[in-house]
Amino acid sequence: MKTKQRHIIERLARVIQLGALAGAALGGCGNYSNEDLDYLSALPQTDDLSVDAPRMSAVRPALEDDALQTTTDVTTKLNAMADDLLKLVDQIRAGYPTSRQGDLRIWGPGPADNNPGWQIEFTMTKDAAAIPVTFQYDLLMIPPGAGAAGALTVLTGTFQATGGAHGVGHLALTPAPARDAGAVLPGLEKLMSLTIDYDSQDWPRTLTIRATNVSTVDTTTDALDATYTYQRAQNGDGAMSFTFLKDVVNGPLGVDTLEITSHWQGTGAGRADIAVTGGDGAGLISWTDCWTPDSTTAYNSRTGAGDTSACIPLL
Amino acid sequence: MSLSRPSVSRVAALAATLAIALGASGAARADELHRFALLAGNDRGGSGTRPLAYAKEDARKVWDVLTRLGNVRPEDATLLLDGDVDHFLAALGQAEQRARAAAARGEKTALIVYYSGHARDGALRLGDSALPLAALKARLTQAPFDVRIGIFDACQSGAMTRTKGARKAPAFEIDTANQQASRGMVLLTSSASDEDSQESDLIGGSYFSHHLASGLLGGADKSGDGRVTLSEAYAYAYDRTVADTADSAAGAQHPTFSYDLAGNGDLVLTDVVARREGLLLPAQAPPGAYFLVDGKGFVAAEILKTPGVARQIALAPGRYRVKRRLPDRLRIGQVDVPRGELVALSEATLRDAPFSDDPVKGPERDPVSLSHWSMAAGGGYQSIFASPSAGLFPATGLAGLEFTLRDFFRRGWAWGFDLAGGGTRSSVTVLTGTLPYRFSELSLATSLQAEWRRRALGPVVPFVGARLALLLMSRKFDDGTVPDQSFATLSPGVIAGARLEVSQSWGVVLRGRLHYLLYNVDQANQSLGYWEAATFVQYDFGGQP
Repeated sequence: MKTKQRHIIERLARVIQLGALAGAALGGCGNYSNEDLDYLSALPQTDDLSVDAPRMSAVRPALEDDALQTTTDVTTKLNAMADDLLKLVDQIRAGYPTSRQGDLRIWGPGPADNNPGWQIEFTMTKDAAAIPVTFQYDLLMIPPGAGAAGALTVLTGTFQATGGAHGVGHLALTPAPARDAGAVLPGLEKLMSLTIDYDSQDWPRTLTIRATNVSTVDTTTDALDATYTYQRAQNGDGAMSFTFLKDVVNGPLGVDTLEITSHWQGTGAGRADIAVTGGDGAGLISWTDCWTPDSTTAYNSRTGAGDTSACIPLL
Repeated sequence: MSLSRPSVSRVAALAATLAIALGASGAARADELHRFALLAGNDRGGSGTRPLAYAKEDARKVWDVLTRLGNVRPEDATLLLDGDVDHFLAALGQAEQRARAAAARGEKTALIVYYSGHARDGALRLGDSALPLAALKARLTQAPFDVRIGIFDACQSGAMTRTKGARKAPAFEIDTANQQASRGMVLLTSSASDEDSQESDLIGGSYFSHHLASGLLGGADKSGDGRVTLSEAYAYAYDRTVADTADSAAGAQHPTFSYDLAGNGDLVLTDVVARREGLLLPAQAPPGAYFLVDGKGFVAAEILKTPGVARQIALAPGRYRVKRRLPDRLRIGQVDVPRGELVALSEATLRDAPFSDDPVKGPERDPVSLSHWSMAAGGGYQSIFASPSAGLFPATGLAGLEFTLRDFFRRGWAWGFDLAGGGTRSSVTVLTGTLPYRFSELSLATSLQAEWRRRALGPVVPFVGARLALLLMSRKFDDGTVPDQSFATLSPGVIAGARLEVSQSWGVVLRGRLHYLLYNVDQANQSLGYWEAATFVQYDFGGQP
């Protein structure tokens, strides 16, 4: 009987050993990771890059203020650009890293859309010792047959996890090297560089975007350079400054510097100061326009309509 | 002669004397009667009884002996396994009907009723149905057979013989002077009215039926005439049963008989020489107890050989392991019994072996006849140890189903399959804030458990075992921009718990588990663990809960 019991115990032990070995051999598989969530959270999010336009009246007036319309047009275009960039980021965020090495996470490499033979790879590193914890990321395009050493950086960025709502980030889009190597990048054919800095750790939130097109761009239709700064307060107040170089006034100097500065309140009331500050049109164009919470003109310096007392103060 | 509780040696001597006195002329020949047999085995005895392990196997064994050696034609033998009272009485009624037809043809008839199972409170317990012993006895008394033999291997079955003419004794008193044809009834029981009938895992059957069958195969042929009579079989079974159970925890078990048979002496139950098939222990073979173990591990026969006397064992064709036990070692060997051949066992073919090589280790279980399924449903709670997995896998409730195959590998072992699922809400803190999520888990596992049924524990059956689970865990974040996460792994563990049997089929299970979990997504492997506690309601589909 004792022999039987020993035999049973030996068999049971063998089953447990096999189970443990199987568990160890197969290990776990999946993407269940808290650390990965840190990496994903370091990527820019919609709230970091989006711009809130001045609050518009629910009933659009027949004579909507021109400056308000210009301001919302600019924010709409910027949001569209931010959406394009976020779509790229979301493609990365939609999946988890394919490789994890210490504080390095790698997605890919994998085939690049619209570019047969090209591969795309995204890497993120974390500097956990830094205060605040800092992430660095790069989107690389690898030409056919080039290998990892020939990878071209298309997007690079940093993020500081300062706490608060999100953090402080910077990213730079540099499509030129890949484009010059033959990559097809729809929508980025004229872009030389795009940098974005955002600070969403606290109020007011700030966003600065600078886009530079290639020097050969037709400045009568496209800006050579554009800088946009934006901030918004928790109560809905906001401000933006949009400066771009474009040939808006014919003359020997070519491009003109056009500045649009807008301020608005959470109520919807706001003002815009528009001027050409450089180039052939410098000093020729300068006006102030104010609008009411119901989106109609409160004051227009060009027409003299209204009263400057109806304008909100500069923030 | 009438005997009362002599010593074992005295019993053996008396039985031998009886057999010699009867001789060939004193025993009714096996072929003089048209024999019918009803053999019933039921492991279950309804509420308040513990399931037996070998009742059906006992019935099979006796059926095999009677149809091969007992001049009972297979068409006249009914083997009833797990049948209830209605089935039993219906089979008896059919035998009675056929007996009447045989009697109309001028044939003498005999009926052998064998039952192995539960008896309690004066009734045989066939599953959830009961057949009062008094009613059965009355039915047998009136049955239209010239000779009626009832053999009852059941706890307290001695109540069957207690009322009249009962003997808790080793041998019958045979009227050898009467030359009339036998008429009447003999009842044999495996134990007295206040005794339990015991089973043995080692021999794979009840003691009484095991020795009765061994005796019918030839072990009881004291006379050496190649035929085993009713008195020889009983005497052999009595001696061996008392001897084997004398030191058992339940106490010695004493078979009883009620003999009310008039006519020309003893009845031959089996003819072990007619077929000239089986194993011959030559007269010069060393004396002692020979165990003949069949291919399934059952002890097909246990023969006590006396010095200088040959013994023929009518084994069915097949391969057998042979064991004879000496004080300091075993003599073991193997013998093949071809169909239609009588093989003599040569001592030279046996070899010495240590006790650890004992081939009598209990039978391999017949999964068809003994294993059975149970199903359980319930719920529990699982918690992964907090460190170092804090915030990774939240504690959660689980609801599950379990399917268990019992007594498949061996008696007392349960092979389980379980499926459980559950979920909870939780959140994880990341560098930029907190992410709420919905956690879900699915586990699919198999386990092997050893269960202990002990009389002292009553309806509580403790168990321990090992388990291997496939865990599928996932979480879905409220923030739609964060993709779902999942993790799958194999997790070995151990189980312990107890089952409270509230009825024949229903039970309540309380169980705890302790598991190892290898987590390897983030950087280096982490050895985690988790515990589970659960309670289940269980339903048993088979013969034993």
